Amino acid sequence: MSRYGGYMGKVLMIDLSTCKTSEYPWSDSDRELYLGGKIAAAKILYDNIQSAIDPLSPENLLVITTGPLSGTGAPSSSRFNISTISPLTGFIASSNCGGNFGMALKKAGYDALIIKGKSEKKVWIEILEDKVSFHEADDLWGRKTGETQALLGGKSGKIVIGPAGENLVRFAAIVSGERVAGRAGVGAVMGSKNLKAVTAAGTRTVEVNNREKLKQINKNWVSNLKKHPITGIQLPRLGTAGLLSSMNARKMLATRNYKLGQFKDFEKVSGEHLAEEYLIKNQGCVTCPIQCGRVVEVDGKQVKGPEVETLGLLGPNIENSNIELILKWNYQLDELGLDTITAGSTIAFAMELREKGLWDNGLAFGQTENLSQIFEDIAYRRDIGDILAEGSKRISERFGGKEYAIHVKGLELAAYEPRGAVGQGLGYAVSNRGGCHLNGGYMVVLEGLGLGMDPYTSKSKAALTILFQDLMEAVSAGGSCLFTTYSMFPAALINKPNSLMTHSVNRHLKHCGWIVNLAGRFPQVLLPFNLPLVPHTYALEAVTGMKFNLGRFKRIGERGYNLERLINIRLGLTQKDDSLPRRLTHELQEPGDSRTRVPLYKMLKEYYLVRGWDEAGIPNEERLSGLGL
Amino acid sequence: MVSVKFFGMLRLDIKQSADMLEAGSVDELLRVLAAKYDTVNLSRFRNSIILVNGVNMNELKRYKTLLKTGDEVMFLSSVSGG
Repeated sequence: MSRYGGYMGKVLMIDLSTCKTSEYPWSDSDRELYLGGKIAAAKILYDNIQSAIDPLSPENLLVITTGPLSGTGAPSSSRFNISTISPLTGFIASSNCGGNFGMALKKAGYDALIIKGKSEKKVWIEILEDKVSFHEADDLWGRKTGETQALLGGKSGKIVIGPAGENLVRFAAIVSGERVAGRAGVGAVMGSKNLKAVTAAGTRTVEVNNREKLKQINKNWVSNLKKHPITGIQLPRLGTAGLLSSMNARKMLATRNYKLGQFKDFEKVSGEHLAEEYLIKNQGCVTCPIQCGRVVEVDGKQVKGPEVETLGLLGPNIENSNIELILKWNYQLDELGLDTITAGSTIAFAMELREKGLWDNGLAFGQTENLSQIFEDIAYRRDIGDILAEGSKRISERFGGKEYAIHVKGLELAAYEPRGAVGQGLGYAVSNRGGCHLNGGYMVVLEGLGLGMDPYTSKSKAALTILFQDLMEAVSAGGSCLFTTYSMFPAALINKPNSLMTHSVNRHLKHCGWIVNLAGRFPQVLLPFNLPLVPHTYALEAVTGMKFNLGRFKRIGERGYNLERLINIRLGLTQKDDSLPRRLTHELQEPGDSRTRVPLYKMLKEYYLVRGWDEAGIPNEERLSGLGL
Repeated sequence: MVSVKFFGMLRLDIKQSADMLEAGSVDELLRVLAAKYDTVNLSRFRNSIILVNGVNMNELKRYKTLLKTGDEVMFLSSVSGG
């Protein structure tokens, strides 16, 4: 039990090797330090995995966590997190999902679920409050994610894998409803444990410390999200797909395996085109007022439409301008249980390898006829699909082309081309889970998409990257969707990009690094207050009963980021892993314009310094001690 | 004639993706657009991110940026997501 609201007070551990369950020790002191979500999961992994392991061995853990806001009615808080050691990177993986499993797990009475070992037989697990049942999964094995969930039936929350997870494709996803924990191969880890699905159900409710206060906070928070130009207008109307045109205009749209930052036919795969021709309606997760999801029709069936990453990486990055194919592939990949980002990026890399005569694989830029079959072959590890199922890093080790294998630490980059936003390049390089735009700090929002900071300067990029990484880490750990962070940007700056105020902010952002650094170094002294732009702290205080302010919130995020870093160091990470493919650091995106490459090493040095890491990228003891690590 | 392209919410609201118009400056173009697309007001055009041949007008002469035949002007919204 916990004395704090927002928590069910129990962490369930299931050992698949013995089919036994136990309660994992998790104290209120842990809750105070690690909050929940991905940070709590990092702590559990840190305590249980002492050295490098084969991620697909029984030694690996699958840690599914919720945050204290989940299930309380706070907006956009139905998220849950899945962390493990990634079969793509060998380092920590964390993948966040908006499906129905997290809230169902809390209704069953648990804040988190840890799955260890490996089942002898193919199984699925049913969690019904205190009763945990193991069922043979022979009838489900081989089935796609939608069919599996339909066969499981009922109103329980579900996580399932598709054929890709069963066949240990290194970028297999876990699916919950139509939402996907897509990144870093969490589905392959589930498959390696012979686990097809987990369902959770119950009737328990989440206790809240101050329900009346939370009600008022939620009312204002929802109202602000609905009024904000990004969370209230752009995301509901255009989804994340609405970014693609701006990315193209800013030369940050990954095109032709990241050779270019613009695509001549970008309009054909844009969010506007999607909204005008194919959008049936928007939809969203439970308790989310943003409703960023797209509903489109594929083969006469209403299904989830693509995100910007999928549009970008299965569009411009492979020189495909047929959006109808992307709608179809998006559905197909979700059904197979594959990450669309790594799938698109790996295919693009294979296309370039063939073009350069390094691997005769039958793939070519702009040639789309055979791709649907290729995706099936990846999921079932047939023919060249068996090689593609390994991801870009391993393919480059076999065939060459390392300088244009677009991954960091083994995880493929998202669709933002960082030579058009160099701070995003730094974020990709240092991200704990590999080439991730969000874990990297999502600097593109400052570097041209939301605001207009100089995208080519390295000034202040390290400080701002750290600030955003830590804040997003804490937002996620609390249980909120990362999209709630966008309303932290004052609406006036977004609505009036040409005003003198916005112009001034854009010009001065590159000079603000020292202030951000100072606040980051002593957050609890310099940020001992809450701000309406960050309603998360008000809600966390009302829900849990803990005292929150911005300083503490930032500190929790920093603790999480450093903890993930420590796990990676234990697993063998060195400074060399904080890198980008040579194409992005040495090839100019625009010939003759020396600004159009990522000046990584300059930014990296500053990043380490501000983080309190030594020149080898290892956190110093004083800083760790200050973080309670 | 200047080639004009619309993106983001502005495009959805005026139900138009592109146009060809006569205008000698960004300021003049905005007035032409407001007169033609009267379902939205002038401020919607003024408060867009305006790129002239791919360069933000704020890096040029803002609303006084001169336009000539063959120029391309893009109207975008501030966006975010992930």
